[in-house]
Amino acid sequence: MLELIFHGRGGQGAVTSSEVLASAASKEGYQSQAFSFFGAERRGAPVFAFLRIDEKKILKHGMFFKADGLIVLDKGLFNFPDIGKVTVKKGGIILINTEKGNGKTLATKVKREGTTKVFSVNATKIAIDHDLVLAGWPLVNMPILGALIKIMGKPSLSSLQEAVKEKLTGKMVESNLEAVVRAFNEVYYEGEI
Amino acid sequence: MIGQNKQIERKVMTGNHAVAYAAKLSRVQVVSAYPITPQTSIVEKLSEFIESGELKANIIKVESEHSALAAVYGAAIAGARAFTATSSHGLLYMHEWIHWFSRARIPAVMAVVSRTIGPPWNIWPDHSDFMDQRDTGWIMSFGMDNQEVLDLVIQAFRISEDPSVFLPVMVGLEGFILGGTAMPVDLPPEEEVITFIGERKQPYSVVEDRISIGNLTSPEDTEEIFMEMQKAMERSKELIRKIDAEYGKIFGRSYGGLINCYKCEDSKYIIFTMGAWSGDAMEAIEALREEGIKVGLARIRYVRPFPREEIRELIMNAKLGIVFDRSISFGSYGPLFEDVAASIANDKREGKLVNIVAGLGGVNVTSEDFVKIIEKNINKFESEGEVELLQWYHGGEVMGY
Repeated sequence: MLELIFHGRGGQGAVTSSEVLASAASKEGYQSQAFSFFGAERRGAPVFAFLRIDEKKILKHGMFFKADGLIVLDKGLFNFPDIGKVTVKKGGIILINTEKGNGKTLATKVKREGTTKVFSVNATKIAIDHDLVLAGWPLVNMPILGALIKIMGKPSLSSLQEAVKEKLTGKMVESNLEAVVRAFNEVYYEGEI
Repeated sequence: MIGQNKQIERKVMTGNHAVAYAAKLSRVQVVSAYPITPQTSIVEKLSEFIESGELKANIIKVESEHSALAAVYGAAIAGARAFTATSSHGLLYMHEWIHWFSRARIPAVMAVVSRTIGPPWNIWPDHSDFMDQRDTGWIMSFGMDNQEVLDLVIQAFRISEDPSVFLPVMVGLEGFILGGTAMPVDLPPEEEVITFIGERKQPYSVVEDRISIGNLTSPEDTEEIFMEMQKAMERSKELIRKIDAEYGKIFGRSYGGLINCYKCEDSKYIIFTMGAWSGDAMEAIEALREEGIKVGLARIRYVRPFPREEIRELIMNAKLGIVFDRSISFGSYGPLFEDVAASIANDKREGKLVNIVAGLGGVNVTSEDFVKIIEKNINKFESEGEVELLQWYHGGEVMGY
């Protein structure tokens, strides 16, 4: 079973990220489970969203803080203590929304059980380039999924796009689909730590 | 991949939305609810269905949960398939009407997104609110995942409206753990669901009959009415088993009736649970079986009527029964344990029973926790022949009272 944690800020759409990926995985016959932190959340404050994907029925429920992958939607979160709750398993991945070349330095702040592969994608820039900005917030939650599925090798880009189309409505759909493809192509492997 | 029937649509959705879809597929005609906290996204989703025209129903927004159930009652006695949903303190506020509803023998369905009760203020899930309703005369079921919740709600309409029963049904699911968690759910075709449930049936209607309801009655007549409710509960057991099997034939999912057994057959030790954490307990069963410990799990799907026959048979064949409760009757035991223990009150047996109270106030209980608790009790039983009757699991430790 694959267990991923999305770390973002309240209102940034981390839960939607996990739900859309759960839906994309389901389209390929996988079982999935997506949920937000059990509790009340405040806009702008650090938040967690969780995702489980497996080939067989998922029996486990509830939150976990030891994960196969950590996806950080806002690099500013490395300045807060919350990220210290997470441990990435040996052989796991860390994907950060940041400029190319920055990933390893940031990722060393995350607790790890062993070697971890670090990736970066500038989802903020991609969002801005594609007019994905709402109330001053770049909408990075869909583009970052493009980067994530490239790293994982599954689910496919077409399943993800289908899931995005089902979840979102209005003129943001097309921009998000384009942004997802761009992030898919632009994700950068920063190396192992 | 998505099932044999091409019409089945698979969607990833929260437990709350699974309930709303089930109510829509069952073509509810009236939804009444208090739309503010502690309401869930069930009613929000139903409003969207009504607004988009996907569901032709009236939604009545009221000033309290007490009024919400009263409005459902009014609609139901007039012949409508009516539905509501609530949670926690909202459910407690309804309590008077919950009793009134079942004693009037009117079919209806309510979803309960279970959460603990304050103070202290706490929004996390346990079974305190749900189990508080166990003496109200409602049939009470509880799901383990979102698919089962959808299936339970659809079946609830059929059970409730069966002339051999005519009792309201409440379907439970934990907040957050199921209510707020998205998972794949197969949606059966609406036409097949409607054929399965059938036309609305009820014992009387204030539109068609000139009757008086809730009038003053002699003590003897009152007692007879209550005795008839108990008989209806007992009759409903066979119906629930039959409907579960029939649903399986039509929609491909059958759960075993009133309880769901997981590796019970050759088990020397039986674990009893209810709700989503049963999944985590199943993972624990797997881990323990790998160590060669013959342990199985009986998941209670219906608290009312209580599956005493199934449970009695399981315990009589087991050395040790461990009942996990996610609520407590203060000053006594966990409510599931009380019913499990009563099921074997007249039986002579060598084995023992243990009650574990855990996960209160939303405390997370993992499969590792289950392994720890079960192993500790089995070891104590095997080495000393004795186990403490009532135990609390808190802060990662098993403790007495």
